[in-house]
Amino acid sequence: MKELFEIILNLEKYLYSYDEGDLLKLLEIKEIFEEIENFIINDSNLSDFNNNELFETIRALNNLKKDNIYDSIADFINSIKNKFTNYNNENNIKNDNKINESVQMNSYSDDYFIHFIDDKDMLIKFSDEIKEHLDNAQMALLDLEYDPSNNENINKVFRCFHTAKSSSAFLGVKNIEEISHAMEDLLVLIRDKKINIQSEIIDVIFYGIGFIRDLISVLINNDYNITKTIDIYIKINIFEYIEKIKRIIETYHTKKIGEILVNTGKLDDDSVKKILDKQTHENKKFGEIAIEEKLISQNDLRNAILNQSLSVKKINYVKVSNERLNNLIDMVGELVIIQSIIKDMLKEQNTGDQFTGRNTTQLEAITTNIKNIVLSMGMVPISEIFNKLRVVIRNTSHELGKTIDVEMVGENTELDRNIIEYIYDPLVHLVRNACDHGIETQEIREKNNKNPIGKVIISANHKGSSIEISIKDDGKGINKQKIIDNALKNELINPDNISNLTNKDIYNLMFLPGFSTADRVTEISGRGVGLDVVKKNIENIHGKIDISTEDGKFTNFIIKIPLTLAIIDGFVTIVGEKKYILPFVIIDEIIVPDKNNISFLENGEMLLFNRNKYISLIWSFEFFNEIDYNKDIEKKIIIIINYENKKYGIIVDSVVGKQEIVIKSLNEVLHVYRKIFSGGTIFGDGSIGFVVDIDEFMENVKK
Amino acid sequence: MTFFIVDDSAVLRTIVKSTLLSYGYKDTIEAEDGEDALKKFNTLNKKVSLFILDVNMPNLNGLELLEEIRKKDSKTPIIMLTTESDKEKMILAKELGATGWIIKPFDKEKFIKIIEMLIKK
Repeated sequence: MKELFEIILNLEKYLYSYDEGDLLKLLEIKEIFEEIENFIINDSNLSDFNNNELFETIRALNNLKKDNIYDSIADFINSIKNKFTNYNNENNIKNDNKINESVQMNSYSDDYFIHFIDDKDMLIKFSDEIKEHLDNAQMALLDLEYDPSNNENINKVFRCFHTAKSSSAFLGVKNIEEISHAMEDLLVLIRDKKINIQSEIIDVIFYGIGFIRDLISVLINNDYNITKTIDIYIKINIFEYIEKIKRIIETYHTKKIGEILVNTGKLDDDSVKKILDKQTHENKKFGEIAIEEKLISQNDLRNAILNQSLSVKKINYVKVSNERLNNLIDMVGELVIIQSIIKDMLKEQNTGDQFTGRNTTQLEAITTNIKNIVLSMGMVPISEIFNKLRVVIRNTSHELGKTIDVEMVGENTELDRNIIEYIYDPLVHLVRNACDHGIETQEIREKNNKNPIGKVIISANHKGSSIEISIKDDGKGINKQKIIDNALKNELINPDNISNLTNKDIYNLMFLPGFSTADRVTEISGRGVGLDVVKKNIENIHGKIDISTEDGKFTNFIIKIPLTLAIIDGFVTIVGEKKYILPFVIIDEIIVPDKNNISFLENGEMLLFNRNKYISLIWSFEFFNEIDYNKDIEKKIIIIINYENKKYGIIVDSVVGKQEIVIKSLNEVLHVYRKIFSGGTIFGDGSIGFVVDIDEFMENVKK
Repeated sequence: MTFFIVDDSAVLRTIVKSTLLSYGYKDTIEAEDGEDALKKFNTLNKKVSLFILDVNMPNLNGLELLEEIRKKDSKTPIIMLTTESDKEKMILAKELGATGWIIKPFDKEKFIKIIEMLIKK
């Protein structure tokens, strides 16, 4: 019997991965069926399954089309599986009348895992099978987020939980069975279009996949020892999650008209029954009959239908190419500029005409609205990345043999889709680090009285015009002394300066090129890409990265990035005759220089003595091609910037201040001529400004 | 029973041919690329029982050849041989009318079983 079950599992594997036309797989399927047939013919207990017609059909197949024969095979497989589950239960349940299916459990009863099969081979097969299904489901789910109407993907996810349910039922892994069961209920409703897919539901399914994967890893990590596994299983609460799914099913489920009418007190249960009875004879809608019978009024029905349609949240999407969207954003940027030019112009003319005033104010309001709407069109929820990070953490923790729980906060936070591309790699790097270097192994965690299951919290939230993303693990933290030792070894700091370093300075050492704390190189991280690259990538999109950590407790990487690339927080300065804009995030301090604090080096370089440190000064004029300038430093302004953990002073003529800058691309000729500008902008007064690409600028300075 | 084998690799043609031969199927037509195949196909004077086409070939590739053959012959089974498990191409092949595909390298015994499965009436 067990053997037959194994064959069936094998068959399922082939069926699910079969594509029409795959002749090798078709052959395998046919051969497995032959095996099954032999099995059934030779065992009188199995005569129920002797489905000659099906066997004959399959033998004659030379092309397995998914739609016709597929269902009969699935039915056949299920009938065998069901028989098995019963058979298995019958053999196990002796004098056991405690089990009552209708009782809702919210904790593990003593006999919850009583049917857990102690058979390593079977459990290995089971884990492998489930893992494969989970991988498939995960892929399908990622696609579903983009295209919720794809039925094949819904079916893939459904089959995953369907198989998980029946296999785990057979093996007595009841927690997985219950989770899969609840999930299957949800997916049936999705498949039948009774529930619309939306991000909350996708998240819940993702969580379910992760949950089952965790439960499977417990089994694997304990080398399929069922006593040890059950010890851990009873500490993991699955019921909350199952309840959550049930709630979702209730919330999102389209209510029947009858239900709504009962709930609002317009009908009683008896009348509903009467109407339903009538409905079986007549081909009429529920509401029609109710009105004919004078049970409700037209108005009641109208309200109920309205109520019904409200309970289904429907969001329609239109696909627009990135290019068009970017064009639109560009045009709107221009509109905003022109609008402010007109406003300024009218102000100067000062006609005193109240209509002009009112109309310009209105124009401004509308323009701002359009700008906000257009910018929000390019916004996507960060869950798009978060869900992928979850997959990364699953896979990484699995490779490392650690059990890690992932918590996500604020996954609905929205940001510019262009930015999403840039932060994905850095975030992957950080979560891999967290799993590999942050979270300790299970033994060490237990020894240190920590929860054996590690935790990574990924969160996002808006902070003004930026978004803050944090990746926090509850692992071993980062030892300060280790950082210092490493920095010394790699000659990144001067031994004499150590006492001057603040905590922040020390942690920031990790972002320097050439720094590595990993004592060993593992599969996961230590691939030669260091935190310096992460920092660089974040800075490329005008972002900032910070770290906070406590030895033995946690490490938290905090990334702050602008919401959009089209508009930046800029710091406007004047050099020569033109305006130049520096990214605001790098600016540390503005200083009116005093000659006494300036010293000259032999090579002509100038240094500024500020807060007990010497800072090299850069004459921005030369780089901006503003050749004709006054060299009197006391008439200039110094902007101190923080670049790659070092301070520099940029000398400019004067500063205008912080402003939101709509970046426009420079015409190509100009771009080749001066690479140090990432774009241009037009100010309200019609003057233009150049947005400085700080990396290119510093590159030029160093030359 | 005649088999039409198209593959730019002579080694592979030989393998297919000798496999067929060892199971008693002697009659084969060979072509070394799509163009050559199309010429031979257009001047064919007997009935082919099965086409075996490589997907990646110079001149006319397997998919284009498949399209040409199907214009004139919609019934005879056509097997596509492919080295990579390139699903998209295979699904396209299926749409263009291929009976199915086999991924190289294949087990000779299985290969014959598949052939027999397809030519069996």
